[in-house]
Amino acid sequence: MKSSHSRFQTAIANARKHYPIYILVLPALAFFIVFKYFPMYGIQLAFREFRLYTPYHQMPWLGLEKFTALVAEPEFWSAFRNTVIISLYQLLFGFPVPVLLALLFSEIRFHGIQRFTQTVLTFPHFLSWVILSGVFFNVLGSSGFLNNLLEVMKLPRQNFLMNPKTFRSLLVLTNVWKEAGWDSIIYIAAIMGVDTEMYEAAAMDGAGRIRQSLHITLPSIMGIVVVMFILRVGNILNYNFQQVFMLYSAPVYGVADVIETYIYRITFAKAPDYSFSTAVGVFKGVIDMFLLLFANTVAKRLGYRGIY
Amino acid sequence: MNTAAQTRSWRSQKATWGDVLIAAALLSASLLVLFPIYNLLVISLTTEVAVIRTPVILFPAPFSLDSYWAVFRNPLVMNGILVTFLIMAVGVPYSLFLSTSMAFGLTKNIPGMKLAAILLIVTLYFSGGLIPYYLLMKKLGLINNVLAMILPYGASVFDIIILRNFFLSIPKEMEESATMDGAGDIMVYARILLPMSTPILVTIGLFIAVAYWNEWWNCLLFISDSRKQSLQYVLRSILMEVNQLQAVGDDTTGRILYSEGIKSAVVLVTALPVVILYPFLQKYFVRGLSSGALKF
Amino acid sequence: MKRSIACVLFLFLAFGTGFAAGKTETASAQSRKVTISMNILNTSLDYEKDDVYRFVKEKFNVDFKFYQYSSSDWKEKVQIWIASGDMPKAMAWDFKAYDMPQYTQWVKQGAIRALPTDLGKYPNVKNNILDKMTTDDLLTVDGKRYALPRIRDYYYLPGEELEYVWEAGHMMYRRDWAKKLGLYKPNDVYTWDEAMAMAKAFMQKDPGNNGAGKTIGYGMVDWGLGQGFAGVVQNYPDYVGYREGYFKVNGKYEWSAGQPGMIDGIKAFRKIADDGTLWKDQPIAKGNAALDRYYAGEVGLCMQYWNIGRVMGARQKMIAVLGLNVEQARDATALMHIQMKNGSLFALPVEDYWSVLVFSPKMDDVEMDRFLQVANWSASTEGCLSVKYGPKGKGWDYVGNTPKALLAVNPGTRAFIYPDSIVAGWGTFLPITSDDSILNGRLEVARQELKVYEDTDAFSNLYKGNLKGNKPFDNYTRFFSGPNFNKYGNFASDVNAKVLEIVYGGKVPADRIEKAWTDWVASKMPQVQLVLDELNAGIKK
Repeated sequence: MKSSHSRFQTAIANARKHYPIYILVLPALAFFIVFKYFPMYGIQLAFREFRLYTPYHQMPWLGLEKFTALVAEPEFWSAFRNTVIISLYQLLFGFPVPVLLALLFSEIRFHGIQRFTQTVLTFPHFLSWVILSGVFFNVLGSSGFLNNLLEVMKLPRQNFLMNPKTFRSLLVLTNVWKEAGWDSIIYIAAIMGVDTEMYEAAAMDGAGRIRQSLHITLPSIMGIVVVMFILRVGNILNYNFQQVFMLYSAPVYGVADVIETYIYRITFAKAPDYSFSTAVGVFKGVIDMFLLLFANTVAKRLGYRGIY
Repeated sequence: MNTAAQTRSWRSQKATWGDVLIAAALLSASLLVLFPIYNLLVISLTTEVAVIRTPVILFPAPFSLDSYWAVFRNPLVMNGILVTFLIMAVGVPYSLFLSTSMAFGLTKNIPGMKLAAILLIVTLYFSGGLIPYYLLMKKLGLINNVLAMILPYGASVFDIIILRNFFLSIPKEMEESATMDGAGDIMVYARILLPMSTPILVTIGLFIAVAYWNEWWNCLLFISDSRKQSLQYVLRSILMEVNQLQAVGDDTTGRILYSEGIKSAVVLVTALPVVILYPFLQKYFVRGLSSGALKF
Repeated sequence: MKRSIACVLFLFLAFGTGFAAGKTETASAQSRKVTISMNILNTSLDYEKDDVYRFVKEKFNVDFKFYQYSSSDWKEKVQIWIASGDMPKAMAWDFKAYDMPQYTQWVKQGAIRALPTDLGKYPNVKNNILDKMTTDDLLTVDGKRYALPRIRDYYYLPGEELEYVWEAGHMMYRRDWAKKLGLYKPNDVYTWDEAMAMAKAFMQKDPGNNGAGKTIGYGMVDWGLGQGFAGVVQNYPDYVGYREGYFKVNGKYEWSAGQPGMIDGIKAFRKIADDGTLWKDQPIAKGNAALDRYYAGEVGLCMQYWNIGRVMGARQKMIAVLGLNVEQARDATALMHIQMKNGSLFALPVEDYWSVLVFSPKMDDVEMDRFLQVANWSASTEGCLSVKYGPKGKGWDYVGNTPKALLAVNPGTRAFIYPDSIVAGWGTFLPITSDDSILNGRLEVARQELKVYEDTDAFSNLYKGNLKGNKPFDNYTRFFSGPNFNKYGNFASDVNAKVLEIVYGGKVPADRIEKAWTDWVASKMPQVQLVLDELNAGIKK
């Protein structure tokens, strides 16, 4: 088709035409270069042995030593597996909830109730897991609220938080409890912009409210839903340290130890090994980024707008 | 939020059974959320003895404001509120500008933008670490400077991606008609794009505001002057102080302070303002509706 | 104890009751105003209002600049400060014995400066702090001191004995319940088996009328579970070694986790976990949850690092929550002795230090001298008291030969009321501090009314007379530094994780514990042997 030469020329012409954009994005680019890329040299710590008072490039070279140490550790892989499983649970069960909530919020006609519930459901986002662990302990512990309820109903007491079979589900459920309201905000904003004419047209065609939701609202916000999903996929290896750390315990280490908690445990009571923790960060980063780009490509193939 | 309900004016205004069902579902979800929070509220308003007796306490008897007193008696709490308001006032426009400008740039298919996108995504997953960051801030002269709590926030790649997505859904006709009238790119950005994106701008603005409200990490790293401490940092220090109290239990000033009470009070003080503000922001979620079709 | 040291360093610097340390200083050096920067826990307080702070500033011609840190970011900030060259002149560091490799590294790399070799000018520092502490010697590198350890004390005033022996993980128990069930033994001395049987009986028979299934037999503070289930530790001396990691068997160092006593300990632990004696929620209970249950009257035995302040707190809380009188409270908060198989009573000594002060290489000799002058003053009796109560004559004074606080007392709690001119919470980083529970206003309450001192003295005395079977601290291994040792430490977290897995993992049947453990030890032995070789090679004599 077009020769590469003329494509190049078009590109230049394009750039000339839109030169104000380059000026516009300059401050943001400057920000990223200064605050993100200037310190980026620190990444080489994953390949060098940390020495105080030495410039990074003079620290002893280790090559892939830290990485091989990491992947040789069976406990690490166990943590890796747990992280992936829990994140997948979260994606499967936790991801749709905020979308559903946003739909419900947009459908309800009682304004008072809508405002009230929306505000209330946003609240837990601001509570830290430190304090929530105490709350959930009171609710889910063996002498907690839920068990007291079970007792009243003549059902056997359960130890939810210490049961390896239920713990992962608990992680997802409590996380949904905490974040669904806040996460729904973005979808609500998206629904706001959906053109009402489409609803009118659909109603005239005889579509009921549910069908309207499913066939108009949902597809209209699919773009942002997909974008959020892709971003979540890129975060699979970063499952929330705080939550797991605060809620897990010896009986469930096997199923709940995630990468971050694993790192925390092995670096405790020793001199901090910066090289090692940097190596873990690089390892995760590579995989995370690959997952993100993969998800993005898939989304684009399916016809959605990706993240770039 | 003034959405579909009001704008679908042609529909009957009568509530249907569907509405009642939805309301019931939402209300039960709210109850589920409210209950533990209410528990926290009660703990913050009562005494240690009461809480030891009944951990899942439902009524603040005896009533006591000692936990809140412990939080607010510290002059740095009020000071911290001012500092935090300051960094929000400066930071929100700062970050909004950086995010929206970059997002706008990324919507254009001009040379360099694809590369920029990749570079941005890389920063999501790779970072140089704490010590290079500290040294950079030192070089920039931001040690013990209030700006240290603002500048590093800049634009979040997450926000940029979302904004770009929303910008792309604004119909090209808007832009094209403006360009035909002689508007340059910057005009399009300022006069067309931004005003039409109010719901998403308010949303991202809220995210950014909350991030600044929660700021304590940069304060910890860089601020040594107590007058410049952010609210969250001060509240955290109070919590740490109280945790040390726990061992002996009593405060020497005569009030009995206990860590559960203070923790609850701190948490509520932290969360409440944002939650109170949020309903007021909801009305902005309506304006900016265009008459054209917006497909996200 | 830690909480009362919140800003000791600051406080410490703030006082100056005129110890004439400046005599040998040349006039010009002393007249130079010195600014000392240091990190403290709470920079939010307005120290300018404090009488003693102002007094010290004037007296010693110093000014202070504070770097903020909090206990959760202490380690990180210390690392960043040193790495960036921005450390405060006097930096408090939460030094633990396992930080020894880091310490030696910093010394070698010149990251911290030495204290003057001759401390004759600062007799209080020398006599009241350094000479009393074994840690001081351990921190000496090539004959020089690079850190000032902060002395841990409970009964401490200069001239008094350090009484730290009994602050170990101990049991507090419901003597009243024991009496009710006919299980009480004189002097509160029990063997481990008797104690656990008692806990189980408490759980099953509910002498406290809490309702079926609501009484907890044995509970502990949350770290107790991870750190070696101290109750078990008390019965199996070899198990003590687990805490240490390595101890000498026939003159050579062995890995404690590999010793036979360890398996017995694990089995005992598993037993109490399985049969319900140990609180079911113990693995997920956070912080002091067990203590709160104890105060609510639901727990029979409770393990914690008890000291005077905490015992008093427990007594007061139970009086408030359960409506007991003092005698009942004493019975409800009795301290239990566990008698080991060799007849002696168990006690795990506590380190004699809590955190240290290290100094920036940018601190010059004049600044160091000034700092030590202030330290010297604070290490005197008067310094200690002034730090806590205010200037002599205003906050405290001698009545006859004993110091008495002059502050007003809150009639309700009997705690002292501090005027605004005493900014509370003097810091931890003073090399010396005096514990709240010793000299605070509730001293009278503790002593006379709640009889805490009577009980803790009795407890302490009985222990001190029965320590022959106990293993002392092995400072050699704690303060050791070597390449493999630094890399692996004492494998504490691995051991911990494995023990918890065996007990709670649900995968190892009770009769296969021994095999599971020996197999695991064998798998770790190659790495352990590397460390053992280092340790054994380094033994002198």
